[in-house]
Amino acid sequence: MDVYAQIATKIIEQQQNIIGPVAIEQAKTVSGLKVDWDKHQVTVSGNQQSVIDKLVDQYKELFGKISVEVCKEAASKLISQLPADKQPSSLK
Amino acid sequence: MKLLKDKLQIFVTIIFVGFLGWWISFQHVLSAQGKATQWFGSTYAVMALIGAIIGFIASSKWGGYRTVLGKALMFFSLGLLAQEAGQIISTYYVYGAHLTTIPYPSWGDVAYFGSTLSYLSGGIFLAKAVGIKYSLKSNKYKVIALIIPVVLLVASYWVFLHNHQYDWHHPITVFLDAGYPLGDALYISMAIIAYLLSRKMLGGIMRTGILILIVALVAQYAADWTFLYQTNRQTYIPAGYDDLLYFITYFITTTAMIKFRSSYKDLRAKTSSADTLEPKAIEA
Repeated sequence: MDVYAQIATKIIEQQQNIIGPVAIEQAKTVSGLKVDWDKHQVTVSGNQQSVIDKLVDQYKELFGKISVEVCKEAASKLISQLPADKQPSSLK
Repeated sequence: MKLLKDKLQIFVTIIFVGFLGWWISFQHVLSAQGKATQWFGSTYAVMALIGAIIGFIASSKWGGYRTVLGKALMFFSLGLLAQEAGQIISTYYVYGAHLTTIPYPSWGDVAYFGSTLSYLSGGIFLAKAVGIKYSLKSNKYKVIALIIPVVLLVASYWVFLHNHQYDWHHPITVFLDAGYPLGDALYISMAIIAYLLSRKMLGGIMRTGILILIVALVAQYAADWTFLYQTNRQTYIPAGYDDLLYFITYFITTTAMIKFRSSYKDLRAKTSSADTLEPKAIEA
């Protein structure tokens, strides 16, 4: 699983801890993100940075900036594996 | 305004207005403590029961005991249910067992103190859900989170327990004498901390429900505080202003639960419409 897919997985997991299955439903609506949560498989296609930004925006609709902080915390260990110019802007 | 269009909210508001009208109708003969006051005092917590049922449904939609938000809603619902249980038990003592004074402590206190603990647990999970840990990285907020409970605990101690004559022969009475005001101070502290530490970051569709829930906790505290103050000074009158305050609190908490339920429904509807629109967008 590439880093972007791992970031998306961590974000969905963290959001699931707060709001439950709604977190997975919300992730499934993000274009470029394929989620098979039964197998715990997430695929990020197209502009991967942008897809992660859209996922963060999707959760932002629920709790506002708090959701963004939750996403940042979830991705904090993985984001450093990406060069600065490849990091999703919403997680910086 | 959207909340007012919710059928469940309309139903609950009609019940609220009905009970409010009833309460107003007997205030001029309150001191006589007639049938109307007795019936009102025995039934108004039906609003808490309605709120608890809606709250348990909302909690299950948001993940129930497996999630932070689900647990917060579950504990607030348990608190409401305990309030209704407390009223039923008190009613039984008066009309079933024909006691002139409700014993203290009694089974009713299991329910009422259980309610205090449930609201405290709900407040803790609510604070977690609104991400207070992110604000606690700042020293200013750390100080606020420490000062608020200390001030409220000291104030509660000063008003209710300073010079209080404890009955050391009855340890449960001592525990409840201290437990009610201090427990109330702790749950209101959680509500105030949750609000102050999240107000700049909290947004989105959950904002309204969370703010209504915090207002409900403030109202519950006002009702509990007034009740303790009046009973301490033997000025409590059944079906008077304090019972109205409790009734208003149940209505506000129920409204919060309806909001969480409708937020879930709106989100599901939006997700479903996005799923339906996507293939069309691809075709286009």
